[in-house]
Amino acid sequence: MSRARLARIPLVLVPAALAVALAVSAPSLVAGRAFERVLPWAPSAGLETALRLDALSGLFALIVCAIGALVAGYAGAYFDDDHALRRFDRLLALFTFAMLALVLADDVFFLYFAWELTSVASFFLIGFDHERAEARDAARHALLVTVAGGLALLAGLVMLSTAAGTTRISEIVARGDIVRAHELYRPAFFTIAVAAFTKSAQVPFHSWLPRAMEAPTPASAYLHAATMVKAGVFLLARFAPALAGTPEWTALVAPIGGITAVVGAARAIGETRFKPALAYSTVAALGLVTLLLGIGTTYAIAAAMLYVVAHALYKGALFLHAGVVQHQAHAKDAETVGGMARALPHSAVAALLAGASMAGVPATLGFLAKDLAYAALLPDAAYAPLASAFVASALFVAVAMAVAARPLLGPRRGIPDDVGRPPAWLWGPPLLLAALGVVAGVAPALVTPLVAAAASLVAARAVPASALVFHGVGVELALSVVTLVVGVAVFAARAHLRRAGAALSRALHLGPASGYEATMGALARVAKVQTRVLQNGILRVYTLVTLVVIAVVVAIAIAHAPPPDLTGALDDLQPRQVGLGAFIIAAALFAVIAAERFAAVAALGAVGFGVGALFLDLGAPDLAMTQFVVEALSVVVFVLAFRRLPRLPLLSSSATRSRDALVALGFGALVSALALAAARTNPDPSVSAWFLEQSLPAAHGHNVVNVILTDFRSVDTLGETIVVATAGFGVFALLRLRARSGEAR
Amino acid sequence: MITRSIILQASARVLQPVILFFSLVVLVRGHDEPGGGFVGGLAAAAGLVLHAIAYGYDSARRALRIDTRAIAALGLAIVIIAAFAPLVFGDPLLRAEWATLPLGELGEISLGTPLFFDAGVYLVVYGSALTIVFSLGRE
Repeated sequence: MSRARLARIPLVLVPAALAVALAVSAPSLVAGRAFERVLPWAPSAGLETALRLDALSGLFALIVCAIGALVAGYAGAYFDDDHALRRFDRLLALFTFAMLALVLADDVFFLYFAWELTSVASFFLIGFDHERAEARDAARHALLVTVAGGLALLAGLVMLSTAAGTTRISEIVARGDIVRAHELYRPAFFTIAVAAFTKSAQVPFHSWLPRAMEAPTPASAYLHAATMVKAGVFLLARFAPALAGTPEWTALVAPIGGITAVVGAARAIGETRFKPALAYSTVAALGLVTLLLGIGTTYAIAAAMLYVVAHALYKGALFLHAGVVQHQAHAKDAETVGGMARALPHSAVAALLAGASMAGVPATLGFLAKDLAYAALLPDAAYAPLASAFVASALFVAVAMAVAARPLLGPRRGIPDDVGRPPAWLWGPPLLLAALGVVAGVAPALVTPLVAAAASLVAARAVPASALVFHGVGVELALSVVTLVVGVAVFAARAHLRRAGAALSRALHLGPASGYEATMGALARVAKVQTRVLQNGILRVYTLVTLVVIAVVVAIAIAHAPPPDLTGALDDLQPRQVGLGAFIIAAALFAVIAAERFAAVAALGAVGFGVGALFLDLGAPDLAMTQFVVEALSVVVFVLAFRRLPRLPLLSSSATRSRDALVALGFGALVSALALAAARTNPDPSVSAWFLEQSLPAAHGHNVVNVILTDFRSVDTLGETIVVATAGFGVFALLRLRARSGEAR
Repeated sequence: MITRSIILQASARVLQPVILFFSLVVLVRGHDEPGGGFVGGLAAAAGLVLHAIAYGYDSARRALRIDTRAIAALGLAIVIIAAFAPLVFGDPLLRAEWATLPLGELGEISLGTPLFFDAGVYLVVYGSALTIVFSLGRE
């Protein structure tokens, strides 16, 4: 084993140890205990990293850690290139941290931070092969959708914490009655639901998830099947005690989940490639869980939680299996291969066991989850949820047969003759996950206590573990059998269904993500137009736009404000000040009409010196001094700059000049009015008085201006110093660059 | 390209050190009287610009010996050190630290981080202004 491979042992061991620790502490979580820890983050902003480990977060954290350890080990065998592996490892570690933070967060802003961090990690993993345009596009798609959802989440969390009067999630959840009665309930619920739907790929935001299959397979298995996409479901579950049970909740969450389940399952059967088919069935499974959470009965919530576990186990295994097939046999299309079981025996066992769980064959966890879901939906008078659950489950059977079973069995075809035996780390993790799904199906007591405890937290009432086991012979079992039969029939007819589906989507022009493409195209066109009009690189246009916008905005503000009292505004004026003012105005006029550049510069300098003299007269020697030196230097700079320019031709038409004159006069009048109005208003005198009082005792200086610059407001000065230095370096670089490119020419 | 004026050259030779000295006075007295690092740095730059106008930019660059960007960078370093120094004493960022030096007969002098801070500003302004002027003045 190379040193690079040895160095990544902690990447496997740390999450594995965490998973063991979580499993060991599970009994106390089941007993209703919660472990809390608050770490300071930004105390002055009221932010803290509050963490809370209870049954719900423990269940998700266990999935994150256990599958994280397996995927890290798997990745070591999956990546042949050490460099790619190192890059993958960093992103994987970042994601695992973010996902753990997300499920453990007990502060809304920390939750948001972790939420966006998972989106960012996902973005980098989807675009892992960043030299391929498809990978980059898919990464951007996922980022846009999930980060837009994240912004909705931020808005929702702010409203939620406002309604509840706390940022602590456990307290918000405890104040469900207050939240639901609050006028902010509707917008808060809606934005949080949108966030959950984007992350968990619910219709109409679902199209990013199948595209995310551009990511390396270990990432797909971990992020886009087992963990991150469940963050949306987790969000709904976490806040269910505060948000659920209202007509809004039932009217939005359940239908979206039901539609997603059917649409995702139908798309999954339309795909022949391994990863997209699995991705669409993931969309469907997430829809099913969302549907169950939307229904919100005790059984439905218990079924949703059980489904989360079952799905993480079988879908993680199937994705990892797809990675093995791709890695060893270079096969991507499930329909073109066959007989792989002999070449990849261990992996084949994993795929068959996981496929059985996905299909809901008895004695698997998938069966128990499906059974419980049927049990939850049957007593309801509404048949739409039951029908969508049935359709999705039946299609899962067909997808599991098409993707997991059929390529393994039958005569060998479509794979190279020299398929090598995969190393243990490639077949081990999927086999372990798949086996766990079957073991838990046979001995559900292994998982039901924790799942029931998590469901109790979501439902805000006790859900007994006994409710989660097989219900015995009844309508549910009959329905399960019918599901299997229909699924097999769909599998047999899948070729016909695919042709019909393809014809239908062509007829409706509903390609994958066509809405997204249209939006992105429109965005690019708007960007092009506005760049041509507004950001065309002509400084005059920028100045004009800036001045006009400021003038209009300020004028509107002035028009809405009470008119300032300008009586006596000019009473204190001294004759010499009037003289200076006249001099400044005359110099400014001369600068405008001057035919020579140098004359204009000199006149501009005269304006500056006039203003400096005015400062001096009004008792601001510091300001005047600086103004004089700045004017002297800027005249030099102007002269030096103009020396390089051609002779002054008249570039602008008279229409342009009249427009500019109009803008200039208007802006000048506005600023004058503002200055007069500002001089009339009395600013808080205590501020200047405080500075005068504190200058000597606190800062050892008589010159208040300098004391303010170097002491009281020295952060400003620090920033300005950096600006000055940057400007100097910038001018240097700019002119040096121009000189160089000139030489090259 | 510029015709050199003897009068300008002679006065520049005399004025340049005077202006430099004056700018340092402006810097040091800034805490109690009008002045400070910003205007001091500008004034010092103006002094060298005078030299440049009289003798040409290459001569001014040679007279300075140090690269103008290095001066600005040094100033920036001083400003940042002065800003972070209080952290060493366990005080918040930019807290002014003062020490009083007794000078016997002459009384005493107060020395504090604001002076270093201002000196850094002086060097940044001096270096940056000269960088701009010299960049534009390149032939």
